[in-house]
Amino acid sequence: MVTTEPVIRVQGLRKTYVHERPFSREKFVVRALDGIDLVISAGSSFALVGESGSGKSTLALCMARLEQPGEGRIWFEGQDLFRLSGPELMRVRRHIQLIFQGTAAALNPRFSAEEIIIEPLRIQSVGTRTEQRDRAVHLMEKVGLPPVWLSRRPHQFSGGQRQRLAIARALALEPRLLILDEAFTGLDLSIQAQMVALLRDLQSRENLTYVFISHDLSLMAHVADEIAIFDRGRIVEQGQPSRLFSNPCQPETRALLEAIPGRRSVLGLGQS
Amino acid sequence: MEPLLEVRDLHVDYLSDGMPPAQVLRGVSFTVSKNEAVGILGESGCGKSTLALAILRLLPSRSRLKGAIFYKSRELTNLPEREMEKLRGAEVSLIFQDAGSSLHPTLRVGTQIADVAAAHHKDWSARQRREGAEAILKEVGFDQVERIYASYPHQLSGGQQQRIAVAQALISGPSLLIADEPTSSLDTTVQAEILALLKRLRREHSLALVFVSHNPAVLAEMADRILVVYAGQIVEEGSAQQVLNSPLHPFALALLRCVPKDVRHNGPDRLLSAIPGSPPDPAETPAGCPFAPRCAERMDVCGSRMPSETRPEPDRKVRCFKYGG
Ligand SMILES: Nc1ncnc2c1ncn2[C@@H]1O[C@H](COP(=O)(O)OP(=O)(O)OP(=O)(O)O)[C@@H](O)[C@H]1O
Ligand SMILES: Nc1ncnc2c1ncn2[C@@H]1O[C@H](COP(=O)(O)OP(=O)(O)OP(=O)(O)O)[C@@H](O)[C@H]1O
Ligand code: SF4
Ligand SMILES: [Mg+2]
Ligand SMILES: [Mg+2]
Repeated sequence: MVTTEPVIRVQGLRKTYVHERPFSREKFVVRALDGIDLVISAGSSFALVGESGSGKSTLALCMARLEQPGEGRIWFEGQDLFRLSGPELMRVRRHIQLIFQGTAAALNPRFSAEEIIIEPLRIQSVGTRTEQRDRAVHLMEKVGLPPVWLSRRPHQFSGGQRQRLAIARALALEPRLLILDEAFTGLDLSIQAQMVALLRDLQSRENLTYVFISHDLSLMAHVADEIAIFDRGRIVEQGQPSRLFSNPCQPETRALLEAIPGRRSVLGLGQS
Repeated sequence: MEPLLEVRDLHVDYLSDGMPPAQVLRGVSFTVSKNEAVGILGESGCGKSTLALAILRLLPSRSRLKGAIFYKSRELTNLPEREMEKLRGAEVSLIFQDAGSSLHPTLRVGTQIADVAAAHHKDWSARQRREGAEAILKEVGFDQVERIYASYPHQLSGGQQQRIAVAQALISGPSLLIADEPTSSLDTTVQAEILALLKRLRREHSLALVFVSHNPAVLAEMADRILVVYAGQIVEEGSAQQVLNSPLHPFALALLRCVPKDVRHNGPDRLLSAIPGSPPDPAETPAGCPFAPRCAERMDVCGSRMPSETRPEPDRKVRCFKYGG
């Protein structure tokens, strides 16, 4: 289905966390999202980059409808996310998948890799038992893990292998929007490139949209069509990677760019 | 001079029912001197975290360790657990790869840091512990220290949790820090602050580092020496300069070729390069060089037996037939 409607439209989104202050009646107030407006078009790759604690994961949770914003609205393919319920919500949940930050470390320790990958299929009653298993085998291969490891539990995988298990799980339902919150963290450069190639391949065949959240600006420069720079709950600058890198307009963007390690100490290799 | 840490012919196998043991480390030897920073570079699953856990004797029970580990000349593999506990944290600290999940979920993070301080600075008053914890929180880049101190882990972002783990590992003033991807979820600005902090601790307190990272540029900045690990073996060792700028081993070369190019000069690279193929399953013992099936430079001899370590240049080691092997 070709839609002219953007996949995601965010308007005036605000989210405030309040937490208790010990021995005091006053509370700490954290403005995690402080007025976010955003449009993400179908089939694109969008990246959110910004300082630790600037609200990126909070936005990801809101886009996946796992967190309720205080103010503002989000539309997914034109439907107001926070007004959906029942079967409509179930359908949208199938189309939006979020690999949340730390998913890999939080995989159910009692599940085998196979159960982890097919759980979303079971919840949505997609496919027969055999089809589900075939899908798990296929996805393991795609993320570069031996299918014989499907019977292993999460603790028997390395950090980067668990991360890939989380990616396989998120792809199981063939979502239309995939949000990857630090999903490349802990993957070596070669595996990162393989995952990027896999995601590109899927994107070219279906009209898939990606939202990457990453601290790795150099990687995002190659992966994203558009990068939004986050700072204290706001988007301070947004643009195509080549423009942001060559001509950053905001001090926050400049600071992030200047702090990329190895900017000054030239790595002889790789640049050749 | 005697090394601070010496790992000698370390083998680690993971055991599971009905499956052959996974030989995850296959004879790893290296040393770390006082104040030295040793970087570890390698593919996912090559055994980096296993090595970090083995040094502190934190391997899961279903594993088997052979070889020797000396810290300040004391052999750790047969040290009584009570002695080992004293060493952990106080002398040798570890930042786990999944830092967030190593935090206690129902204790305020400030209290967790102050508790570590209490265990290692027995003479500190409650107030000193609190102040010590607050000071280290500032050093790992927090400006709202009061709020962070009073937070539970789930109230913090991923990068904030990772910085708590760094603070916890540093408050005891260790001589050796084993850091398994300690800045992997930090933006470049905060990462730079943490790296600067570690450098300062090296200068001022002679901290020694074993630093696992997938980012060669971070290693270029942090490490004096680099060990390149492939399938549970050190396949190359040399100064950071040598290894990063002119790697010898075909695997090291292939891995460093995957560094994305600078977009400003080259424009986006739609196809980032990857090393074709995948590493061997640790449950199988390869007959020849473990990298042979993926190696662009393989020769006839490579599939027949395992290359041994040679020293093609002073202070450089490599495990490949190209250099004698
Ligand atoms: N459940 C919560 N209760 C209270 N405060 C919270 C909660 N979740 C997040 N916060 C705070 O909201 C702010 C934004 O957090 P968020 O996780 O969105 O940041 P982030 O941009 O994803 O950071 P990182 O890059 O470190 O993951 C942080 O200051 C965090 O401490
Ligand atoms: N408990 C276990 N039982 C069986 N195999 C295990 C166990 N833990 C780890 N492994 C395997 O041992 C190998 C090394 O794991 P390790 O965690 O040391 O890798 P790593 O180099 O840290 O990788 P990453 O970069 O992905 O974190 C992996 O192939 C992993 O699948
Ligand atoms: S020993 Fe042979 S296969 Fe192994 S890395 Fe060297 S050239 Fe390649
Ligand atoms: Mg986050
Ligand atoms: Mg690891």
